[in-house]
Order: sequence, then C-alpha cells, then structure tokens
Amino acid sequence: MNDKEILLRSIQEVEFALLELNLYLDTHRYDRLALMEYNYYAQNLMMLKYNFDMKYGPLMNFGFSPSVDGWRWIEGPWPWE
Amino acid sequence: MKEDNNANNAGVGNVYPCIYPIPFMPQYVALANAYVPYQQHAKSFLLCEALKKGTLFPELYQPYEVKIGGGRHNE
Amino acid sequence: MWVYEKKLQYPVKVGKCDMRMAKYLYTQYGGPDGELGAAIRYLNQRYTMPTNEAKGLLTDIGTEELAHVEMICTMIYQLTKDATPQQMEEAGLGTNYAIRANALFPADPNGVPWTASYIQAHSDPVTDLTENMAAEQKARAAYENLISMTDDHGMRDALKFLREREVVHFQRFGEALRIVQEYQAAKKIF
Repeated sequence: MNDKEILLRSIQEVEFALLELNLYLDTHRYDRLALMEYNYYAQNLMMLKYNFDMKYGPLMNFGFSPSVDGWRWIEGPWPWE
Repeated sequence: MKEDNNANNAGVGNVYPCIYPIPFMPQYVALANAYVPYQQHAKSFLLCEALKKGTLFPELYQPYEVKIGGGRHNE
Repeated sequence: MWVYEKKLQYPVKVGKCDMRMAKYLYTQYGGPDGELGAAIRYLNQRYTMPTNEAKGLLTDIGTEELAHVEMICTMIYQLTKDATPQQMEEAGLGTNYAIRANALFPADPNGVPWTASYIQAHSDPVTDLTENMAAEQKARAAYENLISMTDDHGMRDALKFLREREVVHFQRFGEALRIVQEYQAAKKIF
C-alpha cells in the first residue's frame, strides 16, 4: 500500500467505527460511553480527513472538503476504478 | 436521563412516557409479538479488526462458515 | 441533503478470473433483496415513522445501503469493464451486452429491471420494521449463497463484510421495534 492508500484505509476504519456507533446510538440515545467513543472518533476523523484533503484533493464535494491547488475533485481514480 | 429529551419522541398522542432504560429482554411479553434482545454495549474491536469483520461489536459478530459442498471446488 | 464521499465504505479487490460472479452479483444490485431495494425501502419508510429513534435509524441505514450499492456496482464493473462480447456471453451476460454493451443496469441476474414492487411501506411501525428485519435476513441469506459460489479471496472478503452488515442492521431494526413496543405499552398504562 502507498501512503495515500494507508491514509484512506485509516479513514475507512475510523469512519466505519463511527457509523457503527451512530447506528447503535440511534437506538441507545442515553449510552454515555458510546457517546464519548463517538465524539472521540469524530475528532480523530476530522484530522484524518483534513490531512487527506490537503495531500490528495477533496474527499467530499459541496464544500465539505477544501480544494487547494486547483479543482482536484474531478481527478481520478474514482472509487470504482 | 433527561425527561425533556424525550418530548416529541412518541410522535403520536399527547403522552410522552419515558421508556428508558430498555431491558435486555422485555419484562412482560405478549403473544404474537417478536422481541429482539436489546444490546448492552461494553467493548469494541480494534478499529482495523472492526472494518475487517464488518462490525465494531464483538457480541454481534456472527461470521458465516461456508457449508460443506459450498464453494466451487467442493462441488 | 446528501453529500458524496469519494471512497468506498470497504475496499473492494476482485480478481479478474471469476467473471461469472458478475452476473450473480446482480442479485444484490437490482434483485428483490438487493441493496438498491434496501436503500429505497428505508429512505422511503422514514417519513412516517412515529419515533425519532426509527426516523434516525432509517435515514442512517438507508444511507449506508447506498454505499453498499456502490460496492456491489464496483465489483460488477471491475469484473466486466474490459470484457469482450464473447467473454460477456461466456459469463452469461450476452443479453446485457446486446442491450447495453458493458454498461451496468439496476436489474437482477436474469436482467429483470429493479422495481418498486420489491419494497413496501405501511406507516404502521411494527409492520414496517418487521418487513425490514425480514429484508435483512433475506439479504444475509443471499450473501451466503454468493459466498458459496466463489473462491476469489477479495470477493469473498467484501461479501462477508456485507453479510455481517445485514446481521447488525437486523439487530438495530429489532431494537427500534422494541422501542416502538415500549411506547405502545407505556401509552396503554399512562
């Protein structure tokens, strides 16, 4: 794996944990430990995504990622490629 | 547990009872109802493990073992 | 509002050697128990859910199902993108080629287009959540069928991930149902 793939993999891992905690919290809104875990990983994800956006172009569209060095959103490869 | 968090939660009618905490299994069960045990989350997989396994929760990890006769080479 | 993220939920790496799987994977794209049906089912039912727990859960699981559609499509695309007409025919996708060459299409393995009649909505939360629990079990069983049909390591890996997601979704819908049951019981008492 190259550096980009390694960073993307950690984003996938953290995001997956957040998705799981999100679904869990949907049905366990008063679970304080799960909520703490969620907020901890949310911080983590923000930093990872910021790193990715800066190095490899926007991960998300519509202004959720900045696009430094020109309009890199349309650079390939796309996720299915 | 805050009562006001539960306002508008029932959606129907004017009464919004506090139903939490919900027990692992219901205290009173009725016929013709389906009940799923309510998860009590305690520990998580490591993040790299969780993604590989498809769940963060060890208690929900139920991997599938390919049946004998399954798989192309076992036909 | 939805926002796109330029990555897959789970990395998909499929070998080229098992092209017949492309046809079978279509069951999870546009088939009756596929991911597209799941996404539309949940995102459509959420409007009439009575509890905030269920509204949130249907929104979130419906959104995750869209990511699963993307994974399935990626697998099909990876397997068929460079296939010649002859290879498509050998993989049982000759009719697909005749109609639309190597393009993807939301249909089942027999080419039957996806239809909204695969889903249902009643506004009765017990009815809708029970349908969703059944849908998750049907999808889980379909993934087990698909896993048994391939030896490709990367494909099995992705299919096992998707299968486990069905298990987790079943649990969450079951909990949403428990919450509805508790509210209905509490309303009778108070």
